[in-house]
Amino acid sequence: MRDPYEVLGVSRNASEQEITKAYRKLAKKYHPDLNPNNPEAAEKMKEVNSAYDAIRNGTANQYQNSNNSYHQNTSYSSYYGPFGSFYDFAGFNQRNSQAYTDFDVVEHYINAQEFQQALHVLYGMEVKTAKWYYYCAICNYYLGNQLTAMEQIDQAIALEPNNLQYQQVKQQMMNQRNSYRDTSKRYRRSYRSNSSSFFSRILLYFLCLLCTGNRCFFPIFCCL
Amino acid sequence: MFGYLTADILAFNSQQRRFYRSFYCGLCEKLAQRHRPLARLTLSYDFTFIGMLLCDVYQQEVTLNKKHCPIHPLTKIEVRYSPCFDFVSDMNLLMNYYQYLDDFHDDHNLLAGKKAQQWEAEIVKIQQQYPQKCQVIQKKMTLLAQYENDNVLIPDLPANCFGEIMAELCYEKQDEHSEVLKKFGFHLGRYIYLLDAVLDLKKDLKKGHYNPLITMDSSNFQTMLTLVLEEANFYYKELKLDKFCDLLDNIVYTGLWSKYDQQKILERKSLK
Repeated sequence: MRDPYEVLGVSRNASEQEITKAYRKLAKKYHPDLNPNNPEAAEKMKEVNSAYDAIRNGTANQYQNSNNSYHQNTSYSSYYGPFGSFYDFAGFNQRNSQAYTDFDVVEHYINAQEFQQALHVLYGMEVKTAKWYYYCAICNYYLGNQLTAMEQIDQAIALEPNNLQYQQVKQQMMNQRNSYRDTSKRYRRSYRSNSSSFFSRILLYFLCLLCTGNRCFFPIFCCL
Repeated sequence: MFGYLTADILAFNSQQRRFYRSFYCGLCEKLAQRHRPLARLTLSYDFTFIGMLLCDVYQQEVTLNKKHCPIHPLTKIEVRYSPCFDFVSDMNLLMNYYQYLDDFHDDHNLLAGKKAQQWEAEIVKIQQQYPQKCQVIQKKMTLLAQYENDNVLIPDLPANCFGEIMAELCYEKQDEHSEVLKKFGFHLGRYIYLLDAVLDLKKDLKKGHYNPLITMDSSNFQTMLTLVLEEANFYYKELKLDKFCDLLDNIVYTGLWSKYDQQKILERKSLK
């Protein structure tokens, strides 16, 4: 990887504000949402993101490091209902490994449901393999950082696409609850006509109001 | 952060529309009664939703008045509210005050600064009435500002923070319903924060503003938002709503997507 400071175009002494400004300038130039169907821009954006991450590693980690004051007592798991059983499925209850590795320690913490501790060990590791992302995803999921968890399981799958276990865990994360989708589909189907556009619906709305003499929600028609 | 908790009014029949509007007017009335008539300007449908939700959960008696409204002088209008609207109107004003402060500090909007100043006396009263709640909200707003300042690109962090603010707004005091209300509010807050970030992403990129979703793949956004609402729905169902179930269901299952749908339609039109 190129020197991250070179990628962002900042000097090694640049302040955080300057680095952020440089990052945002490059994001404006290369972000896929502003450059649709442009694979070169997408690649460049990945490089910029990695460079920013690398530079900010010292400070970026403070938000992920469980020792930091930002993260103490900020497990949001109490806001989440009972989790499904993929935790058992993931095989954490079987510990066959003879060799003592960092992942053993992580598994030990996960078994004990001490996810913050497990993350602390994970974030101290240098190499980020598919397994690393997988364990991070599980810990973050149970800590209530669901977006981070989804991103990390996606990264695990991208690194090991043939790993069924990762795919299955992702599916369980996605379908842990699906009652909202079922109910919402019923609502949105019955109230949305296929051909109506936003503007024609607004027109129809005003016509309805004029015909039925109902009060309008917009102040201009206050006298109706 | 306002304007997302609204209903899909086209889906209402005329009675439902009348009810929905009457609660909006009820909140307006409460704002004027408890604070100053000028407080009417801070009125929003978002807090009307919270008012109806609390009214239903606690099965409160609804007061119906028919009166003339200063802004709509010709016909008498229906005005509905219940005891929880006192609390909701206070929270409405509080959040507007924080919004003004935010606009003043971020965009150097002097008008917002002036608006914030004129409400300071009322805000002090509200903070005296709900000291713990206001302390939590203040702390989380400061943390949000810090995340913004530090350009934190991990979306869970600010989303969870805003979720906690919303959780505080959704219950008045500890009782048998407050835990579920808090959890529902938390996930709703996450949704609102993330939806706001999704809809503002392109604008923020162009203007070089903070947006926590810059590093995320935008094709995942709809799934992301849906999964957040799945969690919210888990608690919404536990609330076992009754009288205003149909109105509130509309907001939760359709209305919450209105702004998202609108933007998608506009994007499709601009691509053609």
